[in-house]
Formats: sequence, structure tokens, C-alpha cells
Amino acid sequence: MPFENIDARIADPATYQDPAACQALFAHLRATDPVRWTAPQGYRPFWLVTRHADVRDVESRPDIFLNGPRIVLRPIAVEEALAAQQAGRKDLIRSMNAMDGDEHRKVRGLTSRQFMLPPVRQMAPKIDAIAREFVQRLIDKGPETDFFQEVAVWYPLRVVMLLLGVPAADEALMLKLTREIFEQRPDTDKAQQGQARLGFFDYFGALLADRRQTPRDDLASAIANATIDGQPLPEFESLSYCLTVATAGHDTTSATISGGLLALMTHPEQMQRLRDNPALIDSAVDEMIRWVAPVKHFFRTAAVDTQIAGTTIKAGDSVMISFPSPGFDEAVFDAPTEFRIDRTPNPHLALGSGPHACLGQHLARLEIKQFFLALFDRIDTIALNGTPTYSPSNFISGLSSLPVRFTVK
Amino acid sequence: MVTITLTLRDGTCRTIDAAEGYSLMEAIRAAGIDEVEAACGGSCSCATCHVYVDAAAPGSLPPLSDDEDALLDFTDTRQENSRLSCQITLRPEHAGLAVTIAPPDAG
Ligand code: HEM
Ligand code: FES
Repeated sequence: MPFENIDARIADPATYQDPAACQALFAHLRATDPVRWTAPQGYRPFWLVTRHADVRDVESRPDIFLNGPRIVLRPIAVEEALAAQQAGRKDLIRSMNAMDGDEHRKVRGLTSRQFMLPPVRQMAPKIDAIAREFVQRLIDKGPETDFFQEVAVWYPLRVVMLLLGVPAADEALMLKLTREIFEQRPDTDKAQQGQARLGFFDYFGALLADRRQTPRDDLASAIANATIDGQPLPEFESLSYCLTVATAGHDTTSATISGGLLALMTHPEQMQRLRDNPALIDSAVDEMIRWVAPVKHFFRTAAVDTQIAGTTIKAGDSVMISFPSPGFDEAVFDAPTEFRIDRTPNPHLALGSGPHACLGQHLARLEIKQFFLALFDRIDTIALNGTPTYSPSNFISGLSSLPVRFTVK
Repeated sequence: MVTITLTLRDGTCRTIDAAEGYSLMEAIRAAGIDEVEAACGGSCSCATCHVYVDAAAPGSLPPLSDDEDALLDFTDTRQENSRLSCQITLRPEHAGLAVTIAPPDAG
């Protein structure tokens, strides 16, 4: 009975710990119910959109499908607890992914320049040096280690903290707070997320104050001294901005690097091809992103009555867009369940599309690319050494451990 | 529907009927033309959706944003009439818009 309780499964964080089963569920939905009215118990209902064409359609009509006010799936009880704590606001922070139109453009525009493809390309030598440092860290832990916990977690964290301006000494704190804010384990204390936010806000409040005194060449300085239409960005928004960049920038990339390595280890012929043809690295990186798709969903809210693929959506209805599902859509991809490092074109939507498409996408691709180039420079063989585990989350989920055994050249 | 004329990289002309409310980039891609790579999905960060505007109803195009301006500056193919097609949301007043797809940037 694989497809019973679909609504409950979509909401259940544990669903995403089994990527193959999850993809089978999405394939079923794309084939039978591509715009599904989904009403899991304990959650406000929503339309779930899973086909490539329909996700792309929703994301390319940003005036109709608004990012605010509903952002991610939370149980009603959590939304109500948050609203009670914070004067009606159902979310912990207010950042660009909750904004629309001009406001979104202006707020994203405060840092968007640094994340454009041409300047990111210039960062290659810097990212390469960091990648090499973390490959060395792997080698120091060898010949057997947990690749996820020892390496994949720390490398993207270092990159994004460097960009923000957070010193390396504080990275462990950032990691702890990020885990607390995203964790969806059954025993997660509802107050924990609020506490983690306060931890972030204390930390970034001090960082922003420092950068107002002595600006540096980092994102914290850009955020600290930002103005919108001549007015300083309000403190709550500034703190939210730091929190968003800090958290969006590493979990996702860690998941993709570790999930990408797992895919290579379970497809040794693909790993060998990549090692023989390093020029395939760019297409390999996008295939890893398609394959792992660590961001599982975001919401949109219909501003007016409209349609998605012929289904009527009422003004005010919530729409959940799936980011993993479009990358496996048989209508767009040849043999989507095969991992092929030379897949081109590869129009997956795992980084989103439209005006809200991932701000850090070019950086993320560069980080992944430099890591694997550095890895294959130093490592002779690398293989799975046990059973990997996944983190439970319906929002951002990926590996939580990846035991490997390797030899050095 | 908005009728738009496109000149492709090999010089051939195509007329397409584009849906209102979508970006010009989406309209070009929806017409099955893959010369516009749109590598960033339309978020004004890659410049692979660069076009030259050959004709447009006066005042019909949205003004260049700071980001679009900055990103076009990074390209080595910028001209006076350069735009990023993901930044133009099609409206009825765009009927008769004519654009040429810019050559790929050396990057
Ligand atoms: C492989 C790694 C990554 C993946 C898979 C990923 C995925 C995503 C997705 C699916 C979205 C939502 C897009 C949409 O609504 O259309 C997003 C948004 C965002 N991402 Fe990423 N991301 C990654 C890495 C990063 C990095 C490295 C950063 C920053 C350093 C970052 C910063 C952001 C921000 C700020 C947004 C919100 C953009 C907006 O609403 O305008 N991401 N990302
Ligand atoms: S699609 Fe990337 S800038 Fe337009």
C-alpha cells in the first residue's frame, strides 16, 4: 500500500529521510494528481504542485503567487504559539523570502550584486583554497570517517561565514543555532526555535553594531549600513537578513556535497568518468543539485482567483511548490531516476526560478565544484563504509551521516 | 496574448504569441527557443537572457533597475539597447516589441 495517507506523508518530516520513496510518491502525484488539494491533519490545507511546468508557471507569475504571508509548512499549533508570542506574526523572522514586488527587489538588491555570476567567478581562487583546507581535514581524519559530520557540514559554513564576516571561532555556535532553528524531530521543543532565533539575534546584533562603527568588506557591513529609500533597514529586518544568509547558505550546500558524493560512490562508473574528464564538473554539479534537491518546498499565496494547469485556485489559497519533484519529471528529463554527470541541459528547479530563485546559486555551484576538484586531486579511492542516515524535515533535509573509507594518492 | 518579433543568433526572424504576465525570457523559452539559457532562472544574476531591443512602443518597457544595469555592465556585449529579458514582464502595451538575442558572453 505505498500511496496511502498521502497528505500525512507530505507533512511528515520522516518522509524525506527516504529519498527514493519520496521520489516515488512525487512520481505518483505528477501522474495522478499534479495540483493536489492537500489537507494533513493539524496543518492549514494547501495545493501541492509537483510537475515541472506547473512549478515553473507558479514561480514565473510572482504578481499572482505571492511569497508572503505563508512561507513554510508548520503545524497550526506551532503557528499559533509563534503568533501568540510575537504579536500576530506567524514567522520567526522577516526576510526577503517573505517579501514581494518592490520591497523584495530592494531588500534582495542590498546584497544581490555580490552574488551575481561574474563576481562569484572571481571568487574561485579563494573558494579553492578553502576547499583544499577541508580536503586536508578529511585526510587528517582518515582512513575512515563520517564525511558529513566531519567535512561536509563545515566547509560551506566556513564559506558563508567568511562572506558574512563571522570569525571562524564562532562557527560552531552558528551550526548549533542553525540546527535548532531547522530541526523537526518529534521531540523538538516548540520554544527551541524561538530560543535559537534569540541566540542568532544576540550574536548578529553585536556584529551589526560593530560594522556600523567600523565597516569592513563583508555582507554584515552591507546589511548594517543599508538604506532603503533613504531610510535605514529596520533592526528586525537586518537581523533577519543575517540569519537568512547564514542559515540558507550552508545546510543546503552541505547536503548537496554529501549527497553528491554518495551518488558518486553508489555509481562508481560515474565517479570514474568524472575523474577521467574533469571538464564534466559543471554538469556533474548541476546533476548533484537535481539529485539531492535539499530544499523540499516553499509556499506561495494566490493574490487573486487564478488557475494552475486548469485547476482553479482561489484568492488567498496556499500553494506548496515542490523543488525536488520537477527535477524528476518524466516530461522534461530523459531517465530522471538515473544519475548522469553529463546531463545537459539540466533544467532542474532545485534552486528555484523567478525573482526569488536562490540568491546564492552561483556561489553554491562554485563551492561544490571546487570541493570535488580538490577532493579528486588528493584522494585515490573513496567508498561507502556503512549505512548513511538522513535528517527528518519537510523543509530542508539531507544526509545526517555518511560513513566513508578512503585512500590518499 | 502579446505578439513579439525575435531575431535569433543566426539572423532568422520568429514571431511569437506570448502570454501576458510572464517575463519576456519565459515567453522566449516557452516558444521552444533555447538560445536564451536563463541560467539563474530569471533572478537577474546571470545575464544569459541578454537581448537587444530593436523596437518597442515608447515608454512601454520598465526602467532598468540598478541590478540589471550592474549585471549588464559585467557583460562584454552591452549596447545602448541592451536589456535582460527576465526583467521585462509582458503587458498588452508591449505588442509589437522586437528584440534580437545577444551573442553569448565570453564570461
Ligand atoms: C546547493 C545549495 C543550495 C540550494 C539547493 C538552494 C536552494 C534554494 C531554493 C530552492 C530557494 C527558493 C527559491 C524560490 O523560491 O524559487 C533558495 C532561496 C534562497 N537561497 Fe538558496 N540554495 C542553496 C545555497 C544557497 C547559498 C550558498 C546561499 C547564500 C550564501 C543561499 C541563499 C538563499 C537566499 C537568501 C534565498 C532567498 C531568495 C529570495 O527569496 O529572493 N542559498 N535557495
Ligand atoms: S535569467 Fe539570469 S539574468 Fe535573466
